[in-house]
Amino acid sequence: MATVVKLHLFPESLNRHRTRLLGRGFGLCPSPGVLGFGHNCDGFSVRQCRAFRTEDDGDVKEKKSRNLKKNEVNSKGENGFWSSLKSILLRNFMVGSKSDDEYRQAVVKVEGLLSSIAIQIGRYIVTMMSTGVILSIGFQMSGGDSQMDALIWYSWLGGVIIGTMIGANMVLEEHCRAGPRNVVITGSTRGLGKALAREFLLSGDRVIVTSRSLESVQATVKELEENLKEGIANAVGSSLTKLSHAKVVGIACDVCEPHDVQRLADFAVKELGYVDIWINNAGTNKGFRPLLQFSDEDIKQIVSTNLVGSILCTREAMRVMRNQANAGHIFNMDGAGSGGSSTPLTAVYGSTKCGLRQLQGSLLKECKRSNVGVHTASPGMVLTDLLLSGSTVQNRQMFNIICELPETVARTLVPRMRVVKGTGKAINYLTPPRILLALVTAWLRRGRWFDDQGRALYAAEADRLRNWAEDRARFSFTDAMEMYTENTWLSVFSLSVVCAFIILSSTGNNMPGT
Amino acid sequence: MAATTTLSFNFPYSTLSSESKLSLSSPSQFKPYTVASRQNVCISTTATLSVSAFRNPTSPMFLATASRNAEPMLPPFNVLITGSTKGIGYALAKEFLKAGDNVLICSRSDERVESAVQSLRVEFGEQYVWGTKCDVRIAEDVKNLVSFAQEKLKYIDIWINNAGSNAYCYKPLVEASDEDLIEVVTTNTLGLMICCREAIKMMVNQPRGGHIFNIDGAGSDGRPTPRFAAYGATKRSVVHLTKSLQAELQMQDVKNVVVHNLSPGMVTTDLLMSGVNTKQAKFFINVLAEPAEVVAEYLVPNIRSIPANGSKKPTYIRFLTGLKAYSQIFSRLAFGARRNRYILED
Repeated sequence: MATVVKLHLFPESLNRHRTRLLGRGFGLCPSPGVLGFGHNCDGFSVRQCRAFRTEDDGDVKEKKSRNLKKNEVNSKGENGFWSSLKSILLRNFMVGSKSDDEYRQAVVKVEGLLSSIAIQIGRYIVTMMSTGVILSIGFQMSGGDSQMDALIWYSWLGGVIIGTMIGANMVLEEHCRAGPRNVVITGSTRGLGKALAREFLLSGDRVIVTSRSLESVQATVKELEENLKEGIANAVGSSLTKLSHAKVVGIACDVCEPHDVQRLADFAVKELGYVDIWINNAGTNKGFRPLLQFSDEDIKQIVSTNLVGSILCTREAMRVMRNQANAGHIFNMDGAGSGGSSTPLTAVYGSTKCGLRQLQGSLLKECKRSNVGVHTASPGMVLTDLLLSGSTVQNRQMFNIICELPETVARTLVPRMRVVKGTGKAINYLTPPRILLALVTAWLRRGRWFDDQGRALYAAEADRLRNWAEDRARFSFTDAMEMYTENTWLSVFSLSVVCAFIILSSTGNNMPGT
Repeated sequence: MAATTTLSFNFPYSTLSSESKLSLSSPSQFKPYTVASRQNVCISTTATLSVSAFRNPTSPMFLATASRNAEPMLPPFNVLITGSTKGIGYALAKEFLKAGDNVLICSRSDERVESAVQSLRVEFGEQYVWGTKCDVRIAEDVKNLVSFAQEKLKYIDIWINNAGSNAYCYKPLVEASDEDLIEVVTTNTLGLMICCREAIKMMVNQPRGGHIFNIDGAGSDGRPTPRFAAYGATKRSVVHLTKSLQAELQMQDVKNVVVHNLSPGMVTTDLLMSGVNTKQAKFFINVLAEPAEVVAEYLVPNIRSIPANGSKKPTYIRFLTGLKAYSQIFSRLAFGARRNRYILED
């Protein structure tokens, strides 16, 4: 008897949810768009009801307690709907099935999807309302001239088309960015590798750091975990859920030792299951001097780290990625000499990097019909030990103009690496607009990193990271320029189409008159 | 005008020359203009700046070269060829001997050196041929080779870096074994670098100076080489190393040592013939490849003419030029010439 009563109670409370939600939705934005939103939720809750009915045979006690819990959730009020929906889903499936982890993940996914849909619809409504306002102002000003009215309508239409295109682009991009990636970065306990690892980690990815020495790997893992904790402490909303998947693990690996590389690949598969992105970042250059002054050991290390290491790691990564369901991407780091121009004083380094570029071409052909993408990433000039060891005062003056901190470079490279598709892409930091900017502002960049005597003026890594949170949020002019060049063609194209349309239609209207 | 002054004040090391060729120094990771640099067009990254920074007139090496008066290089030449007990190295050695030069051969295996020296001595006489074991991957061996050369021949005029390996297998990188990859890279790149360094070190102090020839291979033009990716990458790096060394020597004002590239094209040696298992490979080998003797016959007079003319300009001697290759492909397609020349095609 008691069971029956309680079962009746469930749909009631659900109904309550629904009406409350709908009321809220209408209160916020009174427009037809909201109906779609409501329908969406409707469909959702109906499915829930069905789920409730199927597990009639659940025992009474548990349901009682669940009911109580649910009431608690209801009483929380403001952030009620999402959390309660989540908890309903959770509790349902927890009883019904054994693998509750899976369902928890599914719920998180559904939640994310719904909220992003709601956000997009909200944006759309706001945009439409503002266009409506502008439209009405336009009509007011035109004063009933029919040609002007037509022009206003056309431009409105054009605006809507452009806006939709850009919006769709944004949505797609956001969709691409979602989801944690599994990343392996070699040589990632200092310099650019570490900055890349940190950036991936704070984008919510699972990262494996490696280096030759176990101690530095452990220290780096600890440090990055600290960074992640700070990131979680500062994060709010969706970025928090994003960061919840992030983790960092490390293993010692000398990239020129085949067994080490094998071990790294096994470790990656064991820890992460599969690898999305494998970055061959390990590279070395023993100072700047003529070949005659390089010792045997130096040459051997440079060749084996840069060339042997990259080839072995690439091969191992390809082996891992061929056996996994989803596509994998391998990045080899470009350096001076990649383009084929001579690199005196770093002849060994340059020729290894040049060889890697040719390797890239061969691999592209070999991997044509597989799920492995081979790419190159070019960080430009980065203020790391690789560049600074053995540089002279004159060199350092030049570094002022073109060099960047590893964090800056990583912040630009990582988002692109995460959304890379296909194969054979080149992700570069020093793109033409950046070079142009550097050359134009060369005068202002004097003494940016080094003073006249070649002493470093920039903060140590720890201090840089302390200011990192606000630094991250800061608007970067060069990034904006990059984004501009990417979207600009789309906008220009659609604008020109609209203009042509308007001109054609207006001349068409004028023709009979003249 | 004002702008130029500002700029030159700004970077005193970089030269904004009147031809408006913009030179940026790039001691390390710097790829300024991806698209352009890939096509070798726009901004060249030669390190003009470093000339002043690194040219150190007081360093002992320059004093040594400056104080010695250079002697003209006259035949007979002393020639050292690495990896010269078989294939193209052996053919080159033979050809140099025919021209009356003294030749020093070497290779990884003692027995092969022994037998090669024996057969060459039988053919050309005792006093012209020497041989020693040298694994180019081991720096100690290369140093021993240099002292052996100095002991037997006093000086070396022409040093040919011919030792190269492909581990004699052609397969995708994914299937390549660790040992093969390491052998390919260490022989072709590390070995070559060590040899170049030792050769330059030795030749800088020779009154006659010297010429170094690096042998390129498939992939050195930057074109992809699927099925032997590692080999292609190393050969690409050979060409780049030559280029960098030329720039370095010029920067250091070393006039008596010149580094050249040598391209034998496709030669029917073990290295190439181990890869004939596809239809495409068979076609190209039949059409383009030549026996080592033919290649050597062409290359050696060209190599010898460089020191004989007293030329100090870096060169790139090619046996299989583009025109030749295309005309051979054309005659094959048009008249069926060279079909089944070495390998039976189906």
